[in-house]
Amino acid sequence: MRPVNLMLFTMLVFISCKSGEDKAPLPFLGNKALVNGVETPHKIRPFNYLNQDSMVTNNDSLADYVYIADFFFTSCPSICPRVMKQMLRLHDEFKNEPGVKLVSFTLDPKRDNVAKLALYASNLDVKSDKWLFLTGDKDFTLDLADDYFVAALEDPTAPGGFDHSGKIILVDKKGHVRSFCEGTEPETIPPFIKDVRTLLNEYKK
Amino acid sequence: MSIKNSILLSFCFFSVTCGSTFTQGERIYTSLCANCHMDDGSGLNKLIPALKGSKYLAGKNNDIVCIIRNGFNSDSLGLTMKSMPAHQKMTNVEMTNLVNYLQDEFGARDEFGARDEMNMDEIEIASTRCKK
Ligand code: HEC
Repeated sequence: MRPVNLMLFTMLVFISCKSGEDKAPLPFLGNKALVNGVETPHKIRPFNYLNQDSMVTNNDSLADYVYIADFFFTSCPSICPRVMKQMLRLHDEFKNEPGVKLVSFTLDPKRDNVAKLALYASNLDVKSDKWLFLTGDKDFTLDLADDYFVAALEDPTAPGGFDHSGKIILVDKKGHVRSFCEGTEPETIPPFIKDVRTLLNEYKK
Repeated sequence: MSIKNSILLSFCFFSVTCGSTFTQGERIYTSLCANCHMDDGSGLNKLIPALKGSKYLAGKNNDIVCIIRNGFNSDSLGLTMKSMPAHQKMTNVEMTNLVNYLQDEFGARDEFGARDEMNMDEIEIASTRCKK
């Protein structure tokens, strides 16, 4: 082998090993903020909601879990069912992984009360110890969506009265956003699943 | 085989393999139905029924026209949240193309692999019957 070829070969091996290991930690998404002079990553603001069993659910009750979040409403005729289908796929993927929960915030608390969310969850065939459907203050939720980088606004001309994006977001135990995918694009789900596993591994060390 | 016949034959072959017969039906399905029933017709658990294997697509069925035109709520007590929106503005041509696309994509086939098809006249009659 000529020296140049050998060099190329070793470089190739090196590159392929590196991508094969894939041990790079997930980034912290969003703008950093200065808290008491210390740079801290973007964080979801504290919240307080009721789930489909009327149990209070807030950032503290989620502190022991990595969670996968989306925003929806039960009467949504546009993209929601597609996004839910992908959430369901993620639910099935992490069904037996106790460190992972799924959280769906309704944008339409007026219609989506606790009873409605309970019915929705039971029609989806999912349980409240794994997948939380949360209802709370509407305006707070629209603002909260910003923290998850989900565009959501009330718009009478949009189908169902709310305009929102179908992002699915991965949040770590401290409330930092670590990854996201598009619920309307099924091909973005497998890399996202990998990211969830990478994040889980961070806590296993 | 005459040239005319072979041209005709290859044209038929082409139109089948390219699926050109169902272009409009597929387009309507993608824009009006797939958000709920999904591209592959699999639905969403008990919230939205799967179209694959639906009894309304097992052979010729006038009900399918009414379901699409008027919407569908099988639960009169409102105990489930299932509700399918109406599509009143659909023309009979669009309805025919859509129904035949549904039959082709999700419908039952007989032992020879054939499926039922509805023509414009049948769609028109079904449509008039389910006018509200
Ligand atoms: C907003 C969501 C939504 C959209 C859009 C929608 N459907 Fe439905 N569809 C439903 C729901 C929910 C049901 C079940 C209704 C029930 O059983 O009460 C249903 C039922 C049906 C059924 C009966 C299936 C069965 O076996 O019970 C057919 C057929 C059907 N839809 C076809 C269509 C077609 C064709 C379109 C597009 C023109 C369409 N749907 C658009 C939600 C939707």
